[in-house]
Amino acid sequence: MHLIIDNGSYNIKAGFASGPLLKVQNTLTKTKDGIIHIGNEHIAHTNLHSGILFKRPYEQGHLTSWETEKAIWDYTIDQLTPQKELDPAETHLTLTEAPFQLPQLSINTDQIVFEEYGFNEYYRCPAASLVPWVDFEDNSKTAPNDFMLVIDSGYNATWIIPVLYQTVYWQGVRKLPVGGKLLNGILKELISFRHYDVLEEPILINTIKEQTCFLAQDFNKALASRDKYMCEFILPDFKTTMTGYLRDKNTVISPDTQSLKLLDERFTVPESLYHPEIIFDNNSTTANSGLVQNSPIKNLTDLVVESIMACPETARPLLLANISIVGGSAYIPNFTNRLVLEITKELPLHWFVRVRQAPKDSKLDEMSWMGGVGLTNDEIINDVSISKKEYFEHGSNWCQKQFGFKNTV
Amino acid sequence: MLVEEIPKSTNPNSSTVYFSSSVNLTARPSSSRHAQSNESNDGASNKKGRQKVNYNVNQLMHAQIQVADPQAGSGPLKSTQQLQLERIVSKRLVDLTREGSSALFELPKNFAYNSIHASLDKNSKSARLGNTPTTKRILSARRNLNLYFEEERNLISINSILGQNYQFITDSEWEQAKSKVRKPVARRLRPRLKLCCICGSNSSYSRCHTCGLFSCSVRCNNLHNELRCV
Repeated sequence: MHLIIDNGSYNIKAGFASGPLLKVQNTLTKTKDGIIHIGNEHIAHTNLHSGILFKRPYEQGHLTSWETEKAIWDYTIDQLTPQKELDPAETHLTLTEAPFQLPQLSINTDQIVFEEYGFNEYYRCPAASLVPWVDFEDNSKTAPNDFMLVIDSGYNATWIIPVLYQTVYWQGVRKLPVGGKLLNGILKELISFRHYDVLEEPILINTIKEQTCFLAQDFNKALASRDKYMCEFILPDFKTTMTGYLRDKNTVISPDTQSLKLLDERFTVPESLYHPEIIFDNNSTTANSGLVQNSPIKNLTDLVVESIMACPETARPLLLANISIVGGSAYIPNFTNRLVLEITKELPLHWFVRVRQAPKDSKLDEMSWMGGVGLTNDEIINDVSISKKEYFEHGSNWCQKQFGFKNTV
Repeated sequence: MLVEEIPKSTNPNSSTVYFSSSVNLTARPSSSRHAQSNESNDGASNKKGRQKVNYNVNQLMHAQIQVADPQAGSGPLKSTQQLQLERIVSKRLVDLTREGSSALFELPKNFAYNSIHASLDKNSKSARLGNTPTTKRILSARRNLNLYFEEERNLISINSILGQNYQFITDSEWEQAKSKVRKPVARRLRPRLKLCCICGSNSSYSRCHTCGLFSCSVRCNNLHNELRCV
């Protein structure tokens, strides 16, 4: 049996190769009443979302806290197989991790997988390296794709990862530390200054971001005519709505309903992918520092171009024609169109930029997991995996040597 | 770590670093701190009239990295400016990514999740403690990322990892020093956005001289002076 776990910093995507996929929030939460919830348990307690505290096993993209992660994994496995027993000794585990994770932390993960859970066979890799194994909609031949530039916009950061022959080309990997979490932070600052104090409402902020934010095709034009993009978000009053919702034309609301009128917040916040100075300009410490202001800032486009140029010359056109956009933050409306527009501007006229069409009914944040299914259906999985026996023979450092990243400096 | 024998003809310009007792003497850093620590190490062996040779490859590599000349492009040495920049940037990023204003909560000592799977739960009394000494250590570590970074011995890995974080913003002068050919680095890749700190529209004025924020009109500027200017 093949179990595939895409261990994201926001959601764990877990499931057997035969399906179905289960999504569990990768966090412990503590609500106002002092109860600690695991994974998705807190979602139902909508009346307690205000002032909720998170404890995530990930710290700045590194899986540091196994005392937290262990409980969430146990919960996930329970949800996944509520009826039948999961026998780790009969199970092959495919696990993803963030690129460039601190080796010691990856070693800790390996030790937990083999010594605590006792999985029989194991393969660990960066999530992006699984994406080429997805059967893309427009594919003339079946997976795997040999060349693919994966743009993985997750909760913690946006990674640009060239994958050549299903292995990560480490010299070309680039990171922009703008992910869902940071966008939440910027939105939180803006709303707290202009409207209401929402510092203690992380879940509400996330909801507002998911429902209202979008990437403008032309930022300056959108800003000039921002009244056109006005929308009204009804805040939770804990009688008619617990989570808040977006008002459409037909909604009748009582006169004492509190709402947010959002204008430029909607596209200024995601714009920090293309103008990262937004992160630093609205804060007196960073705005006042000459050092920050004088240093050239690279945006997503620059990093994509840099990443392509760091790859072997013959692979460059192939990578550009095989861009794959994955990750939860890629759900921001217009993400793909804007990216294509910006990359095309930067590159020579005759270079062909193509974003691969994801399969029908597939979700962007589940692509790596689907790729994992593709990989386990291929024979090659037997050659790259490490068995429990081998682990106990060679040790955890050897494991990291097989699965870990290659230094680039 | 690669340790090789020295071939007969050594090319002083070759990029591979060879270690042997004789090379080690030249590879030893000239900084006083290292000289001191080496002296104290050598103390014992000197009594025998022989100089102690340092065969610790890890230590040697650190020495190599620390004295490496940035012009040669071999060492990831950073300018103090770049370090300061990284400190400011990472502080701002950490501030923004904090969820909720209060600190993280600590797990209570007795916190445990009881799995319904017997195979995962065979030691339910000590569910959090782990099966083997190694996993016991990992599951009760309660350490933060900085501690793990401090412990990591391999500087090259650390530089690979941390280098990723600041790829999007680098001090321009350091960038220039790094490239051997002194070509002008594009200082401004595109015009920066100047957004009013009050209403968010494009600002055509210069920064506030005390706090550096932009404002777009007299009205916003007055509001800014009242509310946001520190």
